[in-house]
Amino acid sequence: MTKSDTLIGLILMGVAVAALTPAWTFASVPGMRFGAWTFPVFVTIALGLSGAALTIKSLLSGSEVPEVAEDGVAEPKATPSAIIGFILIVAATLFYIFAADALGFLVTSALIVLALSLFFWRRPIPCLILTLVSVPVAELIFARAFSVPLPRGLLSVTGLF
Amino acid sequence: MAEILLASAGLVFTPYVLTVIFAASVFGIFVGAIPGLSATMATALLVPLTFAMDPVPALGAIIATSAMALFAGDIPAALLRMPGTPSSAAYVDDIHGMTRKGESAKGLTACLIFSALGGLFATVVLIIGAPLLSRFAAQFSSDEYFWLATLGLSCAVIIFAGSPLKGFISLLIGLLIATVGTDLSTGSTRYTFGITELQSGIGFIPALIGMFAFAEILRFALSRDEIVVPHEAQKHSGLGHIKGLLRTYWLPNLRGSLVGTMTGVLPGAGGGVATWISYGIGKRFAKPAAKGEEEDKLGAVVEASSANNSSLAGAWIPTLVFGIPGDAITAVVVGVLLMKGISPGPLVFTQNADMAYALFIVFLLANILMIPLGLIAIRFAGSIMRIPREALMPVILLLSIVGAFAVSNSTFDVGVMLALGVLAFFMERYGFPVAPTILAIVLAPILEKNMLMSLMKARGDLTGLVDRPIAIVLALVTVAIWITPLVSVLRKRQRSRPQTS
Repeated sequence: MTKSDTLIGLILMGVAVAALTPAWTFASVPGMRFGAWTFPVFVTIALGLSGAALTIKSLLSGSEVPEVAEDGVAEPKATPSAIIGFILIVAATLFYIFAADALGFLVTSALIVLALSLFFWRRPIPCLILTLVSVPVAELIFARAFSVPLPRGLLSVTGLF
Repeated sequence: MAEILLASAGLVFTPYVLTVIFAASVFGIFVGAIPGLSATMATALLVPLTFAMDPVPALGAIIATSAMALFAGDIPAALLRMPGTPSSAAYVDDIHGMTRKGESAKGLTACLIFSALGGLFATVVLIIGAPLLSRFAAQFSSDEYFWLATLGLSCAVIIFAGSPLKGFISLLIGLLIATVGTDLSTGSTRYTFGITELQSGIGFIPALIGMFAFAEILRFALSRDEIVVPHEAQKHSGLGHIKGLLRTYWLPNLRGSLVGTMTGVLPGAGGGVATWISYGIGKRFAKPAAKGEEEDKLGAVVEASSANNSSLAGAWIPTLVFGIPGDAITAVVVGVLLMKGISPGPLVFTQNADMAYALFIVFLLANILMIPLGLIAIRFAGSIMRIPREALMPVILLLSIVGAFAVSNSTFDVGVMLALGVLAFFMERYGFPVAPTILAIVLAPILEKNMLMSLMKARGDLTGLVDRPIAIVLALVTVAIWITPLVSVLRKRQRSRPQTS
């Protein structure tokens, strides 16, 4: 158990309370004492109790416990570059969600692959080749072979995509 | 029977299906051999590609990919001391020790041959056992299915090597995620917050891709260790070792295959558990080293790698017969079967018998194909591992995004993938296993539907869940699974008390 378990336990209790409140209002099967509410109520109560158990266990084990993973190996501190990489991956996915319809699959994906490969790989020419190969291949497989209607966006005006 | 087998063979031996199986095998070996990419991740990335396929090529691709990736996980374990899949973690030190002594070709060939033999052993058990068991399972009612699902989830928590409390919390998170959407018993919605896309629930495939592929990319971003492929990786040719290995290690292979199959059959357990158990048994049976000689570590490796692949086929038994997945990979299988309009369960062997037997043939083919492909992979292992992960990860992200989108052609599912990927990343970082969550997402509808059906039959009386003999047995086994670790913890405390006082 780690110090963070105390906080995680509290968060879980909060989630359980937030999920339990509407769960009581879910419908019952007509004429029965159970229904749509039964399963979520059981799950949320169990989650709240487990969160409480985690917090109590963590507090009882003492506050001086170092942050370690389950296998006993301390998690290495993330470098600023690693944190930027992490944020960049999340941001790239959000960028796809919000920009794909307007820009289209090809443009959005090309920007994502190019930006991420440049950040992680740092070799401009291979990164460009990677982008120029991987994005059209993905489009070919999903849109052409499997008929997935990938967003066409900007390029739809050309009539080619 | 002969007619069914002929029809099944006709489904498999077509140029299209054989090409799919071959391509999936190469993909599985490639992903498994890259450190940090797991067999489950390979399966998750593959699923969107199977949407447009018929059930046999779709499931055949999953079988081939997972079997190959499980073996290929041994390659980075041997050469870099980095297990490619969690299942290879049990024997990573032993197999890497052989590489340090210049015996990586022998070690990896042993893993390959005995993985394939383990897989073939379990496939034979699957072919004989599954149809027999399905006749027995045909008598099951909602009571038994409720307890089977509960048993599967209980095993997933208790067998987890870390904190059982954290395993249980992971399970509850999965169950809570699965409650989102329209409730089938009343037609009302739960936790949809007025969002139309949530009415059909959280998609299993976006969840899977998020928790196993996207989370992996996030992990890579935070810990980008440089991979230095050892010089030994360049001079592999394992062909010459095969005969000697078969002669020396047939018994550990048989034992590992048996343990792996039995563990795989247990709902909720997986390859990781099978390899650890078999590794332990292998160590116990290892011959003590004579004076001046080194201990033979390969026996335990053979035992564990046999168990690794045999557990995969073993896990298909509860999946096909009861619709209860044995591990995360077979959870995917249940999802794909449902997507294809096939309900896994005993009726599969009557209504879709040709498909079921076709899958058995694919299992045999995949395990046979593993040997030549594996030998090639061992030969070129160094080159595969030199492919920069920095270049692969953006492409994997792209495939994850498109894969999640392809489920219902909606960017909402990309958001689901992102959210659950971030959740899985933090869960693993703080010691919460992800496998129980994904199993819970698959099993929750089965659990809830059968619970409500049993309660309706019994007019709300809870004892209705245990009013049939098999249901009582399953309930007792489930209770025993929960009580046993508690009793052992209490006993340990009692024993330690007099010593401390």
